[in-house]
Amino acid sequence: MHELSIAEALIDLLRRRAGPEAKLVSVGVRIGALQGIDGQCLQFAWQAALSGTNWQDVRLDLESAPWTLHCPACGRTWQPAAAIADQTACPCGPTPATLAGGDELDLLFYEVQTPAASGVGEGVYSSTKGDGP
Amino acid sequence: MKVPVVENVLKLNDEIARLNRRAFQEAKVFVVDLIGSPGCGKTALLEATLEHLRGTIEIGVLVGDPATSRDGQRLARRCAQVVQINTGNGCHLDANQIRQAAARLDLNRLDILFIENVGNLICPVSFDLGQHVKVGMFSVSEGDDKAAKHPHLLLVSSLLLLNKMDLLPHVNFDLEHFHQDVRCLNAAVPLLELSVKHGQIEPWLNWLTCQGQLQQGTSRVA
Repeated sequence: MHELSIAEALIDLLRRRAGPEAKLVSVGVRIGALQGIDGQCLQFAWQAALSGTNWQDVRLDLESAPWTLHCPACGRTWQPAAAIADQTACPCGPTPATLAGGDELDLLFYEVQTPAASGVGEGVYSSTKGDGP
Repeated sequence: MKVPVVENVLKLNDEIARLNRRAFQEAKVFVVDLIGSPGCGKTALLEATLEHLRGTIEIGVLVGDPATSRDGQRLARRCAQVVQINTGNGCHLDANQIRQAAARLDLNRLDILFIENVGNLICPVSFDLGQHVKVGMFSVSEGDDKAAKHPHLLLVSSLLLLNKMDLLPHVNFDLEHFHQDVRCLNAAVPLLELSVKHGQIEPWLNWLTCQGQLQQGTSRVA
């Protein structure tokens, strides 16, 4: 259900940024490892939320961002192999590491049909619609 | 044609959260978002807190559950300002739900507002509600690996609570292991051990009083 909320928030954001009638082709999103978001679930939620709308064929491109830590004492920045507790200590000493990445949840881009390709795209779209029941 | 954006997906939520935060600050109310598993003792802790602080400070509660108003009813026996939020299938509270529910409270009369989030250690972490602090709550019956398994909650929490300490002799829970995981993930966060059922919540009450006073001080300055 978390993923459905995220998909709905993403669609709201796109409606505001691109406009509800925009001819979207794809959308790029970056997800940090700490967000607890499952890529497959988000893809499923995206399809479910857009089913039957003008954006139902829009592709969702997901990019993952690793958990990244920074040690304020020695300046080292590193990416623990997994978001688990036993990999967070910096070898330089007891200073706690700070979060430098992995909590992202960003819309990176949206791709719209270019004006030249737009006619083709619309043709394909209307013929697909025409083939429907 | 690709249009670059780079904007947080939860921007709309965060904008409403900012409005909430401003409203809370103007009303000088300290707002705590309480996050924990179903059954870890969130409602029981709030009941005990209301009981202890009755007559000293004014407390309000927004309580989120997928269904029923049982928690709302429990809390309403001890607190005049309670709003139950039912999320349906939703696994967390969002800023807009808080905005609508808070509009039903008289914020100016409150010193502390608790938001009891939906029982869940994952989703509520990602949603800013406009709170001053998020508090993560665990209980020993859940197992000693729950802190390590939920690093995001550990990183955003200003305070951690470990409840049901009275059950420690009866369950498989390595207290030292739990503390070690917490320290590795967030060395700065205080961790308080409680037994709500037996009324052992003094460290929590002390923390709350300190934070509340601090917050009142800063909002007066601001």
